[in-house]
Amino acid sequence: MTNQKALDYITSGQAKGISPVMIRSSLIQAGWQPGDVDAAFTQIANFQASNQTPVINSATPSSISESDISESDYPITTLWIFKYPIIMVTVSLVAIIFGIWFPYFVIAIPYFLIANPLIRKNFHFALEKEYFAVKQGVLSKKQRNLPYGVIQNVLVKQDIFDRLFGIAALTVENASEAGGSGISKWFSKSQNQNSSADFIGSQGNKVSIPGLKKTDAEALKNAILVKMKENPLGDTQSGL
Amino acid sequence: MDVTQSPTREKYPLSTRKILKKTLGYSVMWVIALSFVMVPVSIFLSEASVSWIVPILISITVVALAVFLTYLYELWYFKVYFYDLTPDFIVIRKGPITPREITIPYERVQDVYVDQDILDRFFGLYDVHLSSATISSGMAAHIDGVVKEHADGLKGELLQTVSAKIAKTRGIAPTSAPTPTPIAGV
Repeated sequence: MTNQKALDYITSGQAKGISPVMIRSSLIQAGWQPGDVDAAFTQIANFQASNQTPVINSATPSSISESDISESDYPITTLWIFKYPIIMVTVSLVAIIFGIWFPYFVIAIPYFLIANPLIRKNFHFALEKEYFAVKQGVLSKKQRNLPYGVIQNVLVKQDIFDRLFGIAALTVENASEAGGSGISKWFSKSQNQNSSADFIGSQGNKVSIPGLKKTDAEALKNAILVKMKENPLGDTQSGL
Repeated sequence: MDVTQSPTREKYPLSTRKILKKTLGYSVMWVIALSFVMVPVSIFLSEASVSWIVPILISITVVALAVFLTYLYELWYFKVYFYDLTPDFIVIRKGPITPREITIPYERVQDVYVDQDILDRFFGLYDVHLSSATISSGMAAHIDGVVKEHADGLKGELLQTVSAKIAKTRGIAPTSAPTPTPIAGV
């Protein structure tokens, strides 16, 4: 036995994106019986389910394809593997021109050429329904699920190398304090503050995807922004 | 100068005095940095019995060139400075050579404040800062170099949008809930 006024209130609230918990509590505060309110919710849910069946069917394929957005759609370019080797060779060559023999960088190049393809191959991300999922790690593995609602900001950065070759780094940050950064937390204090695009995957409070094509970085950013808009967090963290 | 890239920048434009302010700030740094080089060079030249006017002329030329290049860079920086308050996000992009773009959802803004450093006070400029809970947003998310009127406008608009967005996600009922009509049998 429910009243049309309560039904109207609930539907208008839902249309405005207010959470059911809030609607329920404000109705109960206004003097409605909890049982009646729940009955009204069930009634509306039944009505919407019977009404929206075709809509849900047509939306299902698109939602599946959306959750398919992953590193295969926006791959890290092969150029990323050679980024630091190229920079090191260039710096060394410039140093030689100025008469300084500076071979230390060059020693590190084989490491990059072996490690980077492995890192790239083992790095996966996916825009899942509720989480931005990242899997990474060659020897030690790490998985991270970042809820869209807690994303604090999205950064697109290009350093000079990136600018010259038309690539960009995308960084997504939440407010967690060094989530799972482990030992690197002690070594990368300055790097963290500089928020450089050096690292790949999740470290500290960020997930970084370097070496994307500029257009891919923009497209992925927009896809994440859409997800953030679709998945607001009920509880706000803002202090304002 | 045609720099209206976004509706927000059109409404709250950056002051062109920002270019002068930044140029002046960097010029002071250039003079200090170059004096470290030019003083020993001058001493060396004077010992090599060159007229005293030569090192002074060299210094002035070098400083003038540095200031001119700084001015051109700041002009470029000013032209590509992008900020837009879209319905859902705040987008700020700066840096002509190494661009850096930050996107913040309104719900995650922790702080909006306006400040001035000493050069800003000379030029009558204000910086509008807004940050989320991350370190990088503290560094990247500010709009600096607007006059007081526009700083207040930006601040007001930001605060208004943020509180409107929060009210929505918190689910504060827009209208008070209807009171139940007595139903027989309850």
